[in-house]
Amino acid sequence: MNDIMIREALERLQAEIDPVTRIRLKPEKSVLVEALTVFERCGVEPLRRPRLLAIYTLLASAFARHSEPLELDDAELTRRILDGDYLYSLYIQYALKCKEESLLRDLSPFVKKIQIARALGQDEQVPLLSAFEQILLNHKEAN
Amino acid sequence: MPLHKKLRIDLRRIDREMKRIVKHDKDVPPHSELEKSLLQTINAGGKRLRPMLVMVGSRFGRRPNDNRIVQLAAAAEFIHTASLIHDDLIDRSPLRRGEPSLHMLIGPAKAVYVGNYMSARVVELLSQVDEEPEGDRQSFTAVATAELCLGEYEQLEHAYNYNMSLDDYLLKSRHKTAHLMAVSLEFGARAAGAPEPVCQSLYRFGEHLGLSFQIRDDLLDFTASAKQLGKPAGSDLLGGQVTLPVIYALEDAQLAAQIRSVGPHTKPEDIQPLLEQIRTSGALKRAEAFCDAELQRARDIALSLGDYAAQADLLSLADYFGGRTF
Repeated sequence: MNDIMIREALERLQAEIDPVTRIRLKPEKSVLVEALTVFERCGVEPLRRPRLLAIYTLLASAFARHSEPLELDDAELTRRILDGDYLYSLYIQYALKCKEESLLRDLSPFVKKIQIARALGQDEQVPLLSAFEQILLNHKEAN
Repeated sequence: MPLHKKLRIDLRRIDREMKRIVKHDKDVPPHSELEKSLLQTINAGGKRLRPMLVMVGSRFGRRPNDNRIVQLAAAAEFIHTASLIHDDLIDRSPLRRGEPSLHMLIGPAKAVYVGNYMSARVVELLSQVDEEPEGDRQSFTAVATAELCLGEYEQLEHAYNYNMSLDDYLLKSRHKTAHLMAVSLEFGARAAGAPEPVCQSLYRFGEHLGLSFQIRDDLLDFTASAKQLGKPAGSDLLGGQVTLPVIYALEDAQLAAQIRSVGPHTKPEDIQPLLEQIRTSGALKRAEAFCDAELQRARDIALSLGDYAAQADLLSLADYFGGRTF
């Protein structure tokens, strides 16, 4: 079941990515399985899980592309900046396409705080899955 | 008369809103390096064209002076500024408007995150506003930013590609420059409750205006002084950007051979004679004519919006873009 959801999520994602970017997302399977476990624990219905996984993967990939070190003499710096920016904008676009406005709204303070922490040179850890879990549990309680 | 005065827009109100967005963010520590960087970037100024386009767009709706329009105007400038901070890193440009680029002051990583903060703050702010359909506001950020990135990818793809077609150039320019201007007008109108066909006309107006802006920028690489540009003349050519004047100059076999010899290791002094030859080749005049044609298309769209008093503002914008010298 997990394999099917992961394949579906990654296929959807790759179809969304403009070929000019040449971005190929290759997230670790164990990370995706862990995310699916969290989604299930939060009561997310199976049909919704692949699109949540795609949204999660886009945001996690955007964070990863902009993680330190970012040095001027790094030949990959240009691509990393561009890829991170593009994946972040695609994360918003795709979440809206999937009608996940409330998830996007509730994630926005978390995303901003991560950028603040990074700008202040604080902890590089990005507890993204915990943020998803908290938000999904809140949504579950509200319903 | 400065554009903002002609358009009756108080730019100080937009600057105040930009600062308010930073200072009222309880998550940004007061007096931190982040806050200082943000305020310094805002204080460095700029033309504020995109906020002005939001304001003008809103005049086609029922709620033009709403505070949320000013917030959207500030958001448009945040998106633009974030892209400039990242552009300077991508281009390894040490200067911005003649002053040290942000990454030269605080380092590349922190500069990336300052830009990211600006984008993230806009999403947070726009998603907090009620009334309008949520997707509309948030998609402003997504739609604007994704196209900017595509423009950058296309520019990278075509660096020193002297076989780039006119169509590829236009696509890149639409993505990189025209789109954000077009969506600024469109979303300004939409946020103020303008009818959908008008929003779409404003998008098309903005696209032609933006394209003329990019071509004018291309021309300035040959005609403006280093002081006006904040970088040496010919920097685009040296950096491998195949601009519209270059595309036209490439049609001349003798010039083409010289242009094609420009590569990543060419020195600024080596291209000075070539710059002069391009200036006198007729390529600039042809690019100028293309630019004028785009502005005329924009004016034609403005003239079709005669039921609105703000039509005059669109024509003022077209006049300003046509006469821009730096």
